[in-house]
Amino acid sequence: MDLLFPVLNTIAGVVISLSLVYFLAAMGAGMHELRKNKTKLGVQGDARYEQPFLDEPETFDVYFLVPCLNEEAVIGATVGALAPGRRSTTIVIDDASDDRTAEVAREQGGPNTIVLSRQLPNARTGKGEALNDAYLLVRRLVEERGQDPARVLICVMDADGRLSDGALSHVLPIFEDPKVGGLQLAVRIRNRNTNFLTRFQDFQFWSMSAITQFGRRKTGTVSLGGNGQFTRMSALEGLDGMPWSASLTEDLDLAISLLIKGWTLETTPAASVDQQGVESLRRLIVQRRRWYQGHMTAGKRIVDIWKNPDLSNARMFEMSAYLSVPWLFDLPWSILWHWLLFTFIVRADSVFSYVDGPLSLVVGLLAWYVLTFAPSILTTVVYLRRDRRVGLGWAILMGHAFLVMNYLSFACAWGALLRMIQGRTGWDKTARSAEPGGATASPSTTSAAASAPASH
Amino acid sequence: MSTIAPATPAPSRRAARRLLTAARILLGLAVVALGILFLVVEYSARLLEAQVGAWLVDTLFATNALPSLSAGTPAVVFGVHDTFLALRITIECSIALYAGSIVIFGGLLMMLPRLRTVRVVVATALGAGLMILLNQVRIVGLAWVLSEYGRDGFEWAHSLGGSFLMTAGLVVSLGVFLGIVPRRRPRRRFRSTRTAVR
Repeated sequence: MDLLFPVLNTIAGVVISLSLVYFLAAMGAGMHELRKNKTKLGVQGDARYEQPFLDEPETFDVYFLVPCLNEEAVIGATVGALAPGRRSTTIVIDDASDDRTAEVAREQGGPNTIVLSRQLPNARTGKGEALNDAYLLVRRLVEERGQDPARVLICVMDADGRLSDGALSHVLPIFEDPKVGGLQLAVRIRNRNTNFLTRFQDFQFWSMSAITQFGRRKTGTVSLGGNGQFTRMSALEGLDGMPWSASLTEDLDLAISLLIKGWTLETTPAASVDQQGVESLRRLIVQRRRWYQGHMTAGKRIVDIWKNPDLSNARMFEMSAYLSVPWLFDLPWSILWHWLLFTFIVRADSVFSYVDGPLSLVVGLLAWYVLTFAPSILTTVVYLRRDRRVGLGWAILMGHAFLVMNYLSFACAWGALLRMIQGRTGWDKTARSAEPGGATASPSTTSAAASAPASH
Repeated sequence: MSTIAPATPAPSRRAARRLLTAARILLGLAVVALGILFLVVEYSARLLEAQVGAWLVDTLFATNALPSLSAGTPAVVFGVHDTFLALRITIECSIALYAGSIVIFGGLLMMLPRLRTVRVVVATALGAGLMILLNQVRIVGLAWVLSEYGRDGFEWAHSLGGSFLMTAGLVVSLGVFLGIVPRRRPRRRFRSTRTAVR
């Protein structure tokens, strides 16, 4: 016991410090990037998501790929918003939906929308395979239309995704740099006012994820997500095999593949994409567990990254740190957090040995609060400044919600590990909710089994 | 316009490279062993910390200071204002576990061929050195607070100040470490390309 306390406390100290270094470096770099670009934290805070082609320079041909499985509730508005592009084509990938997804897409999409119907038993085999099918179609169309793959962009959108007004006018100029192979937009949660969970997802995406992604511009290692993901077709053509893998996080896998090939991945603070947040805890756990499993599986690609002599060390370290997060931080922290809580309680007399009255108790508690909750205070301020409409109360609540929401991460990380050990790679598609103005549908969770293991 | 064909390493160069790789791995293993040694002999490290601490306290503000043992624990005993006080350095107050961890991490990185060995050595020395220095500052600071403000002041400084200082110190040390290690040697083929173009 004499040795157990110091050893575990040292491990906890190292884990806390390493995560703090990564968090502060990423957040600091993000804010520095914004300042360098003379952009405020509040940029896009009150963005509207209706006219993505506003002021579009029309310098690239853009193919929007929208994988769909029972999306009639939301697909109409999505393809409707993408219809006005003069140099764009929308490909709705209907993965053997049971509902009217294909019909709604055809009705609302206009002449630039193509519905690619996948039929069972070759459908519902994973998002990666659906995207690869559409990619083959894009290849054919690009050839038929005589387009230059270096001037063709492919944008993956969720069926409920909406690009911010003028998004393309900010995205396309970034691809004028021939080194840029991909770009990911920051994500906003549309139904953030629905409940605590949707608000928390908005906080995570808009306050933390977006800023750290801006920071990752410094190394050109911005991670790709499944919504608002732009890639240059010539970059995809240079990959070994098809772009999207059978992995549970095919977007992260693609980002790693592009980086290994030497491409730079970008983002911009001047455009964003909004989507529905998951409204129930059960669905959120299923979604996050899938993300964790994909992220943890992608960890094995660290070897490819370290072996690649063309990657800079800064890129190598950043990507390794990002891929290690579940292994080095989430899983150990789920144990160490409880250990620290236990020692804090059993050693309360020693921790608060200076308390000799109410005043010293208050001052002591305040000091401990500042010490342990410093990242929460930072993210509270950032969230408030990202969108003033959030309000101080919500910002404070979200900044401190990690105390409870950590348990979601712990459960999902351990659940993902268990599924990896069991060799289970099935996936549960995130279901959508009907929105005002959209076609009606009853949301449900559709299960499918990936035909291929999550290998790369 | 000049063209450059990729050069095949000569046998002697290949042998030299193998030798360098072996040397790097041996150095890395030695440094990992050093880090483990830090953890194993942490008691001796505390004795050393007590000696250095006593010398600093004696030099800076005490009328007299000596390294000592208090119930078997290394301690700094010092006299101020006609009173003798003892500051015990327990295993949790020692820096050996943190410094050892940094040294082990550095040793592991040294074995990677893509990182510059010199940079990793400098980063490891700086990271571990900063932590050791900071802990000495903490020990001397606590001794001063104890002598000036008594037991109450010491409790504040030890529990709150110490925790804050050491967490911040470890964050800074790791930050410095990770800031130094990634920088890379300019690649030789780039240099030869420039020369050829000229």
